[in-house]
This record gives sequence, structure tokens and C-alpha cells, in this order.
Amino acid sequence: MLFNTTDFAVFFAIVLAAYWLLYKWRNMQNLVLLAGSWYFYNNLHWSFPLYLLGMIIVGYTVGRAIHSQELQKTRKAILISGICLLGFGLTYLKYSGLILGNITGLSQWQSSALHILVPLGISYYTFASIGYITDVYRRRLPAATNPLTYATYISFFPHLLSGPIPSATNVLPQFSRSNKLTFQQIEQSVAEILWGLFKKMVIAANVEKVVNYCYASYEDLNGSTLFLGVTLFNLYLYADFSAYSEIARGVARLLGIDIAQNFKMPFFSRNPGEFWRRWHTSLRKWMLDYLYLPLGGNRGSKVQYVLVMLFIFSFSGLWHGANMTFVCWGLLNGIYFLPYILTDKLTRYKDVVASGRLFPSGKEFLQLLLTFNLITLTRIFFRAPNMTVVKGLVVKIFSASILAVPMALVVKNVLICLPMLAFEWVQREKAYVLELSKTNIYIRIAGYVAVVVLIYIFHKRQNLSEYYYFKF
Amino acid sequence: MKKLLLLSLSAFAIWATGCKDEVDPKAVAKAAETKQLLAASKKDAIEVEKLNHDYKEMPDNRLFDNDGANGPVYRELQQRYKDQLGKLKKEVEERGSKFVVVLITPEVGREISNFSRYGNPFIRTTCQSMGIEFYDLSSAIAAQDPKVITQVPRDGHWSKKGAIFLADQLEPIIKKHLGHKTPDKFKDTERPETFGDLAPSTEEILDGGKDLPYKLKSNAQGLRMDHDVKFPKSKQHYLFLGGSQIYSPFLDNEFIATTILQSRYPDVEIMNAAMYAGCTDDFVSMWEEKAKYSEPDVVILQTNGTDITDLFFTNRNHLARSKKPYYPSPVEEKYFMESYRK
Repeated sequence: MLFNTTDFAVFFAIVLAAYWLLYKWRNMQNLVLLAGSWYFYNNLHWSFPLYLLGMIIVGYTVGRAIHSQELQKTRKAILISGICLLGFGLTYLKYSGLILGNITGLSQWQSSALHILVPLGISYYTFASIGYITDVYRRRLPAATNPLTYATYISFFPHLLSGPIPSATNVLPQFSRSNKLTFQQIEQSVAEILWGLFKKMVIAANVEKVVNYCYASYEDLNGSTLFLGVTLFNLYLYADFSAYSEIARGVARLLGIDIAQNFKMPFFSRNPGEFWRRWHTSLRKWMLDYLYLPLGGNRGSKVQYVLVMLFIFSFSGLWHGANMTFVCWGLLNGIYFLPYILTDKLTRYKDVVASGRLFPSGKEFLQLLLTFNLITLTRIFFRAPNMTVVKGLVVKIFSASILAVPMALVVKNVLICLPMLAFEWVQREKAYVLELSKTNIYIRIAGYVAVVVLIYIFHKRQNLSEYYYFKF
Repeated sequence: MKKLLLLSLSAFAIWATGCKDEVDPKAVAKAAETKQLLAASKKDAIEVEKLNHDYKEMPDNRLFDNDGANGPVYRELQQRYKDQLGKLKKEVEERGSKFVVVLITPEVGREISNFSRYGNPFIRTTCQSMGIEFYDLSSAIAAQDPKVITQVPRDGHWSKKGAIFLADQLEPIIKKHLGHKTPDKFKDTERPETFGDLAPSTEEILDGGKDLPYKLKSNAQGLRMDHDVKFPKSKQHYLFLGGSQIYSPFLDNEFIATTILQSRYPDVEIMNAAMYAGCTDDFVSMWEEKAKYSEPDVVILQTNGTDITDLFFTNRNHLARSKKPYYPSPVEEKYFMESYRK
């Protein structure tokens, strides 16, 4: 059941109505959410809720056990055991091929050999569970006493399959307090859902096949076409993933739950550091809280700092998949950080680019262009199925054929993405893209209707492809 | 003077109101015909929907369930196939064109399906009995490595190497008929806008849901070609009719067999009017409605055993390009009912 389907619309309408009818009874509301979430997950495969249940039991029990102990050593021992237990499922299901596949005598035990399905979204709820027990250990929040509340938090369908990875400290308490919905919140939710649908159904769905074509037919295409194809993938990935995150955020808010904003218009970044503060922010925050800081962060020497950063990016690459291409993707992103770390310029640019102006300065424009293209190059590794394809793409892109005339179809598809970027550029200082709150209500409604009309006219029919980030 | 002007204007007004626009009787007839066609197609669509509701599509391979090729249904379908092939041959040859049939199966390697086991010998004998120039490429294809000439395991259609292999196999046919010309020509006004079923002048990426993206380009005449066919024709025209083995999904235009043949024979026009899914019934209607107007001198029809089983009425109602209702014959009806009762 994908967000952009009528099945989901019907499902959500039922859950929403039942949820708000029971607004006086928080536990009943949670029960509705839990039942809805499990139904949603069960729709993908009957076995998936079983993994989820296991994860909930382990996370809840470990959280309670840590909370009940005062002795730091014991708390730490329980935490480490909990992380190992929670991480085992993810490691086995996603990485047993990499680990056991190369060991004689053990390869028959890898998950694929045993025909075990990897549940969609397992990375997200594993990370959410690990985050929760670590926060309990750090005494950032008390362990959940009500298993229903905890189970609802982990299973919450808007963030179950593709994040944003919830921060237990911020999100879990929202499931135990009564909530209400203001008109402003409804409007923001609808606006975010509409913009998400526009990006998924009009942009991502229309350009997806051309992206696939460029990567599949790289041997037959010239360098300029391939460069545009990789650029198109960069734009597609943003449209697809940010669409899911925005719809999830809008849907969650309509249920009275505020979840993190996963994308903050990342293509308007002046260096890779700023890009990563705006792209997939929930994963970045998770890495920051539970890996970067425990590893020392930037508190040691520069060499240590660089090594920590390279490790974090390699880990991020491996999180995406047990493939050398993802490791290289992570490392390349880490390498981009080096000049900025060495010159202490990594944390620059915390404001919005060209604030208060319609156009960027020449310098800002060049910075935006450079950052966008550096990130685009990393997408060669991110999308290619193996290193042979990576090599083929790199050789073609950095050859004389980069000056050849690109395929018109690819150019046309890149142009399809430009209105999305242009509108986001104009709205870049707003809290969310379709924020029109200072204008007259009728103008706002006309704006939302216009987006609906655009979706209706230009959406790619019969395209029910999954969201790209489900696979991670 | 004023009175005269007023009088003239009044007279003009009376004349003008009495006048009617000149009516072109041909346009009226055409409009009436279009209206009739629309009404008929609406009626047909309702009938097809009803039939599809009453009779769900039966998998082709179930037609061999009872008696293999000896069952009454399969024999009826064979007769239907023979009739349609005969009709196409007659219509093609009446125009002075050469009619050639090529048996191209998707079966590579040792395994052979019932479609080929029972269909191939029948097609062979049918063509021989009708005096059709016939080429059987099934043995040559079966001798190849499927991993080389097809896109297995993801799909069984041609790979780039497979398309070259196919072009090599078809080349002798092209060579043999170089110089054969039909005197028959159509007037410009008679020709329809398209000669094939593809949307004209499109360039799009398709993948058939198999993650095998390919670029489909059609010319202004709805054919799978990069250039338009010019009239009055200055070259000899070869027209390919058939299904996916000639259409060649999952390959860009430049890699398919007909494009390869075109590059080998630039002095003739190689036209590809094949469709992704079709059988003789579709090829006949395509020929009659569109393809014959491309003025082919040589018509090469690709066929195989599935073209026989695809003539079963449930398949037709679901897939036929004509969108007309196909009612079951008594034999088909009996077979259908018996099959589903089991």
C-alpha cells in the first residue's frame, strides 16, 4: 500500500476518523494506530509484522531493564546486549551474504540461501529501537512503561517503511499525551502531502524510466547523456525520497504526531557540509548522536576527526547496502569533507543561501553549482549495480564525449524537474515548500487546487513503483 | 440615394438569411460513417466487456490439457489460423506483392513447448500446401545459447547479439527478393495517417515491468523506425508483420533486426509494423486497415505456434487489436465449460 494510491487514501481516512473519534482515550487512539500500522505492514507480507513484534519485545524489555538498574556498569552491559540483539536481525538479513557468502561451509546459512525475505523498513525501525534504548541509557527519557505506547511508536505507519528515523526523545512522549489539531496544522499537513504527491507522481514517476535507461544502456550512450542521466537520478532520488518524507510528515501531523523534517531543500547548499545538514537529516542526526559523538567527534586531533568522518560515511554507505558501490559512495562523500575539515570551514553556512534576495550572487551560484555536481558524481556509485558499471560510467563521463550532443529525451526529462527546483528556490526561506500562510485564504486554497490540478494532468498513469528508499 | 442603399441592404439581408452553407456531400457521408463507427465501437466495447466478464481468459497452454493437438478445439483453432493465413496471402498477392512466412520461435535451447511441438509442423505443412514461400528458423534458433542471444533470465526476447543473429537469418530472404516490385499504388488521399499501431512520432522509455529499459522510437507513420517512409516511393518496400520477435522489446531501435537489415540494405525500405503482442487475426486486420497502404513489394510475416492458440476466443476478447467481440464457437464453449468445471 503506497502513499500515492487510493487504497492508502481509504485506509488513512478510516484510521484518521477512528483516531479522532477516540480523542478522549489516548490508549484507544494508540490501539487504533497500532492496529492500522500492523495492517499496513501486513499488506506487504504476512511475515513482516513478526519481525516488528520481535523488535518491539526486545526494545521494550531492554529499555525497562536499563531503567530498573542504577549501576552504570550493569546499565552499559544491558545496553550493549540490547544493541547486539537488535542489530543481529538487521546484520543477518542484510549482510549475511557479504559475511557468510565468502566463507566456505557457511555460505548455505546466508539469508538469501534460506529464502528469508528482508522486511521492508527493517533498517529504520532497528535504528529507531537502538536510538530508544540508548536514550534511556543516557537518561534522556524514561523507559516506556506502557508497552502499547512503545509498540505504537515503533510501528507508526507513516515512518515505518522509509523514515524519517524517529528520535525517541522527541517523538515517543507524543504517543502518551493527549493531542489536538489546529486549523493551521491541518493546512500545513495538507500542503506537505500535496507537495509530496506532486514530487512523487509528477516528477519522480515521469523521470524514473529514463534514469533506469541511462544506467542500463551506459555502453551505448555518450558522456554528456550519461552525465545528464546521473544528474537526473540525483533529482529523481530527491523528488522520490523527499516526497515520501513530506507525505509521512503530513500524515503523521494529521494524527497529532510531529515527526522530523527529513529534507530542507538540500540542493541549495554551498558546500557538502551544508548539503548533509539538509539531506536525510534524520539519518544524519542518528549517526551524529549514536556514532559520531561516542567516537569522539571533532574533539580529538584533525587526523582523528578525519578518520571518524570517513568511518561515519563508510558506515552510512554500508547501511544502504552490502555492496562495494555504497562503501565507495560513502567514502567519496567523506573525502569531500576533507578540505573543509582541514580549513575549518565545514560548519559554515547555517543560514539560507541568498537570504532576502531572489537571485544568488555569482559566487553563491558557483558554490551551489559545484556542490550540486559533486553530489551528482557520488550518485554514479549510489545507483550503479556494481563497480563494472561505475567504471563504465566514469570512463564515458570523463571522456571527450562529454562534449557531444546529449540525447533529447534525457534533456527533456531534466527540464521536467526544473519547475520543482524553481518553486523550491522561491520558497526556500519558508518552513515548508507550499507555505503560503501570509497570503489570503482564497489565494491559498487556489494555490492548493492548482497543485491538485497539476498532479491530475501530469501524473504518470499506472506507475506504482515503490519509493526508492524502501529497499534500504 | 439613402433609400436605394437601404433597399439594397434589405435585399442583401433577405438573400443572406435565405442562403445556406454549401454542403460537401462527401463530408456529410464521412461524418455519418464516423458516427456509425463510433456507435458500433461503443456497442462492441460493451459486448467485449460482457464476454470478458462471463469468460475469464484461459491460459493458452491449457488448450493442450486433454488431447494435446488432437482435441477438437485445437483443430478448430488450426483451421482458423489456416483461413486467416490464406486470406492474408490472397490479399497480399492480389496487390502484386510477394508473401513470405518466417517461423521464428522464442524457444532457444533444447526445451520445446507444446506450442512449438504441435504448432510448428502444422504451420510448415499449411504453408507448403498453400504454396507460400516458407522459412523455418526454429532449428537455427534452438541451436543457439540462450544466454547469448536472449536476455534470460530476465526475459526471453532478443539480446543485441540475438538481433544480429536474427538479421543474419533474415538477410537471405531480403537478398532473394531484391528487385521484386508491385505496380499497385495508392492515391495520397487513400492512405491513412499511420501504417502501424504505434503512436506516431514518439520517443519514450519503456521497460515492460522487467527492469529492462529500452528506447522505443516510432516514425510519423506509427512504425518502429527512425525515419519516415516517403511517397511516391523511390525504393523497394519490405514490410515486416508479426509479433514481439520482430518488434523486439527491450532493445533500442538501433539494435533491432530490421534496423540492422536497413543499414545493410540502404537502397531498400525495411518497414517494421510488428506488434508487441499479436497473432494472425491481428496481422490481418492491421494489414487491411493500415499496413497495405505502405505499398510493400515484399511482405514478410513472422509467425509461430502461439499464433494458433492465441485465436481462442477468450484470448481474442482480451487482447485483439480490433476490439470487436469474439463469441465462442460451440466447441470452444464446451471446452471452456469443461475446463472450468474441473
